Amino acid sequence: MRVHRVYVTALPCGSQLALQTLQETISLNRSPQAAIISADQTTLDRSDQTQLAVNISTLTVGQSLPLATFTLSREAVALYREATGDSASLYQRETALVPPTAIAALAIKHLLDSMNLPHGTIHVGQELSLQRATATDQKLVCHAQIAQSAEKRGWHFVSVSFQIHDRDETPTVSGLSSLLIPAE
Amino acid sequence: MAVINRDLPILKKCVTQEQVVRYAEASGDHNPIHLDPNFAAKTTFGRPIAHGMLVLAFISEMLTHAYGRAWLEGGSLKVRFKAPVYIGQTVTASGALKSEVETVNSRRLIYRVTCRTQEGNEVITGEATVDLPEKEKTKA
Repeated sequence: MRVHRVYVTALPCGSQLALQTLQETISLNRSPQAAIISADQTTLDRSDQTQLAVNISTLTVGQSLPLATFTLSREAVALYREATGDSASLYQRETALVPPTAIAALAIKHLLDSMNLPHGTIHVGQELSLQRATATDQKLVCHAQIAQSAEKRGWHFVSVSFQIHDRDETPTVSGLSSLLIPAE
Repeated sequence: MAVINRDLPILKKCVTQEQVVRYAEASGDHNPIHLDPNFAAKTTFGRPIAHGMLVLAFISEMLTHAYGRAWLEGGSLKVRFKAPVYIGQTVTASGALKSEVETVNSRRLIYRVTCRTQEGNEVITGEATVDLPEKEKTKA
């Protein structure tokens, strides 16, 4: 299976700068790099994930994306907090707690990896809803669906909603990621 | 017992290349636009930019400082990524209370949240809410 490597950047939505930048990004990546998506051993995670690339041109509202499961070890969370410079005293008092943006970042990464996104895709908006504090070394399951898909002026606007549950199926974090994708 | 903040405690972060490299390792996001100056130089950005989710983490940290567990168990964010943050820029995260809404079992605080560069440019704007489970004293 050949998969496009995904480059996602955040830019002012719809601006001339965004379009020019994306055109340059696309032109630099004429040959999609083949990347094997497999169990992703990131610092945060050891994931078991069904990796079936989604065809962006056939996305429909309500369509489910591949399920993702992951855990966040204490060490990985420590690295994340160091990377973000998070000094909130809560995590010093309760060292097993996971910053919610760590969970969201990992879920979003898996979602983007599972979608057959072309070069030049940009992350334009993000919603998060935090329902329950999550502890380290807890198995999390991420369900995701296409919430919105529209094409206009050579761009796909796609929103992906996701819900992350712990092993008791209790919701922990949910969200909506909005992406601007150049139409092929 | 949490106290309601009219203004969230401001957070200032200087985004360094080292931090972006660490974030790439921690998050698994190795997009070269964040990591490779040669790659970034050939884009309109001209130089590496920070991950949007890294900058969003600053807003979440700000709310964690203010409300602790209440943020983790009853918070929400809705933001737009308006502009990139370049390596070397200092970003200030801030939030101002817009309104308070009484719900059945809690009080919902609604903040306007912003991240700005030292030049004053908004890079992230949006809204954050925190549901506090009990009535609290309003801080002047």
